Amino acid sequence: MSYLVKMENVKKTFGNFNALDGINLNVNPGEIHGFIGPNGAGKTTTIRILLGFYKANGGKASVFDYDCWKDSIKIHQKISYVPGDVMLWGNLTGGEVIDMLSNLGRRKISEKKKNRLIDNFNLDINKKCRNYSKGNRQKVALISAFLSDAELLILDEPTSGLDPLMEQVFQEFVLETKQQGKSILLSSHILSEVEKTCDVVSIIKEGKVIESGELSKLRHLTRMNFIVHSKENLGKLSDSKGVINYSFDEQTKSATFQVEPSNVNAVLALLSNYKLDNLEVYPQTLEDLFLNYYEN
Amino acid sequence: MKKQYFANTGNCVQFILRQYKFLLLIFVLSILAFTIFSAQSYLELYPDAIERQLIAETMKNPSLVAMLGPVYGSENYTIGAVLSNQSLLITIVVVAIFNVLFVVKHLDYNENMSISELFNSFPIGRSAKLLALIIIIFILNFLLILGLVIGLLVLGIDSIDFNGSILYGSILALSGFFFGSLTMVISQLFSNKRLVMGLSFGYIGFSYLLRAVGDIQNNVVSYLSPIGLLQKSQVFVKNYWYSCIIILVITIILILLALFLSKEKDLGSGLIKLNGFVKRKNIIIKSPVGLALQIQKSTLIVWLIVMIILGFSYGSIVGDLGVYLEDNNFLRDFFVNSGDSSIELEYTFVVIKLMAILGIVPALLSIIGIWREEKSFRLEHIIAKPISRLKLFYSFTIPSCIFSLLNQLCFAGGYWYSANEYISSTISLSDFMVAVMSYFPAILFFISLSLLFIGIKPNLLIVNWLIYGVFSFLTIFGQALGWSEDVLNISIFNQIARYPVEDFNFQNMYIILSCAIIFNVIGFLFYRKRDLFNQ
Repeated sequence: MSYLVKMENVKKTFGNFNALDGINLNVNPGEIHGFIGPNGAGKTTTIRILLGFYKANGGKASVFDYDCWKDSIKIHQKISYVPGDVMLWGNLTGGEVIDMLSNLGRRKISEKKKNRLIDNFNLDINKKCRNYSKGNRQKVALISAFLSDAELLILDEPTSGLDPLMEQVFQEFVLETKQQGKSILLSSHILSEVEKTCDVVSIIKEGKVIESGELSKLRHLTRMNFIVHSKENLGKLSDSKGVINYSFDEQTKSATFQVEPSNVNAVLALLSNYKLDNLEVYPQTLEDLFLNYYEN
Repeated sequence: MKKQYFANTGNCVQFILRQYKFLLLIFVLSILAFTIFSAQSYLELYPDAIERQLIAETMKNPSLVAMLGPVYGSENYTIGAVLSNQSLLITIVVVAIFNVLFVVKHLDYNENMSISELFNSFPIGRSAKLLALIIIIFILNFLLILGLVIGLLVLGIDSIDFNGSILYGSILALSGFFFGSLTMVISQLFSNKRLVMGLSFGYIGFSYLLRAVGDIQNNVVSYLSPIGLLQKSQVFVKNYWYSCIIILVITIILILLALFLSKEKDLGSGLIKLNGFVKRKNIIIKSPVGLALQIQKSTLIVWLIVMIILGFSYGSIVGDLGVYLEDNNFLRDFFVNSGDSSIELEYTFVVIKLMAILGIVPALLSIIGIWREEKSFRLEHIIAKPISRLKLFYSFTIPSCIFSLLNQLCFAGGYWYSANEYISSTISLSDFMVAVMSYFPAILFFISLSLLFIGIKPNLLIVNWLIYGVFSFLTIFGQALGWSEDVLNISIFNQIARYPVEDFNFQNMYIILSCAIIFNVIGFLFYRKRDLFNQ
């Protein structure tokens, strides 16, 4: 089976700086591919090479088997792109930008879907773009992208300005797009979002993909963070099975530790033996994940 | 009003002054320098009374009255009268514009909310910033009076006395204070910065036009315009103070109104809500050209109007050129080359050349649009569509070239309309148009040069402006400075023949056009190969 997106040992330098140091990335048709890494790792540079904005200094990059640099127009006919930092034209309204981008994409759009997207994302399309917040500008770009019915969506940190409610709307449309057999390359540094939507994940650091594979196989990398407040002595927990990196803060009387997803139930059962004042559980951030990665 | 509304006004004043004291100082000094140099140069231009009398008659020409205002004291046209007739109006307008800009820069609108929020999160009263601005504007305009009185009196010109100098300064100061305060009131009403600026500048423009109408017909209409009213002071002639007092009273009322309104206002919003009130037709953009035109629409229209007005203004004085240039060696050197054709024609050639040089500015501003779109990352949405770089490149280039052509046509139209009765005997319309268009290749040359830089490395665009500056300087001042022909010929503007007095220089035109085409093509070849958005 041929890949939708295929990057082989792609390199890019800016002056003396190695932005990409041999990227390998493969996206299968129908797949939602999470592309995660900290700021400055090279996510945007990779995407700009895929779109033919940058010319790679080495390696091979292709989308739909078209060369990213030479045949970018052919690629652009089948994709839709949402930049990381959405900048729009101040004197056009959101609605006008959505229409313009559809016109320039030369794809027939469905009015029904447009109205549904605008409703669900709750965007006032009659406002001029200069009055939009970052989140609203992002909504304009996302609506255009989902509306385009492109075969591949390339989304660069699309939810960084959206509120949690809108993130959920975004995830619904991502899944809808997947059900239609389309593919998405989703760059992000919010791991929970990637977990909810993506099938496959590639982790990039310092211009290299350091881990790539199906999310289920990478599970071992994502632990849960626990913060437990209790007046009782929690000291025993530190030796319990599944509890990792236990530490206790005397001042706040709280214990902090991590738990592998497979052990969460066991640890919760353990905690039920104590009288707790407060319990916080949240997935690890990407930064934690990297720490884990280097611990191993 | 409660004291807490104004808490920490002093700190606000300091905060703004710390950032802008140099700007304010430079502004006051520029106005001072302009006024003093004008007075000094009038003294040199028209040393004796008989000459001034001639000029006074010229100044009564309706188009000059429309531009500069009525002539007061023409029976005894002193240097003071010349100053108030020829320099006052333009200075009033400049002071008004500066004050409006300064006020708009410092008030809160919905566009600069993040900064406003940060600023207002400090223990600063709701109206403190407004009051601080009022104080600063007051100080600024007071300094203007002080400077002008000292500056004008130091000149020691008989007709420019103490009383008149104070009045002259006060007129300018009140113009600034009045329009500044008006902007403050408008800012309380509307939250949109552009709308506030539009209304304020619109009112300055309206006041200027209203007084032009009133002055030409010599009727009461001028009194309805604050600018016209201020001019009625007849400074250095009769020195009436009533108009200053009226404007001062209105200004105080405006300031109180602005302060009163400010205490009820939400941060970054206006008392009049326009949401859903202003309905406009949906703009439909189907191509990159459509986008290029849409984002520059208002700038393009303004430039076209400016070119018509400039053409008309330059043309309107052709009839009185003899009087202007007769005894003025400097201006004659500037406007008249060799003197083998009529003075009107020589002047026309110079104006054509000047307008071609000026016409390059909007041309470059327009073509650099493609780089502005890239630099601001808006181009990402467009280039990610199935649109080739070739199409994108020429979607900006071709409209810019057409726009530049229209600019020259607008100028030519305005000039011919107002000057044809004086020049049509020596030059036909078609020859005039050929003369105007003979400079068009030079404009294309500069458009292509900037495309070359945009293609290779946009940061080098500054070089383009440098070359433009050097060429313009050589062309405009080179001859007056007595530089050699070889140096002057570096500038392409000097490579263009003065058609029809000289033969049309096809060879040079082909060279300039070839350069333009080569720059253009090389620019595109680089543009196609370079990384976009890599700054």
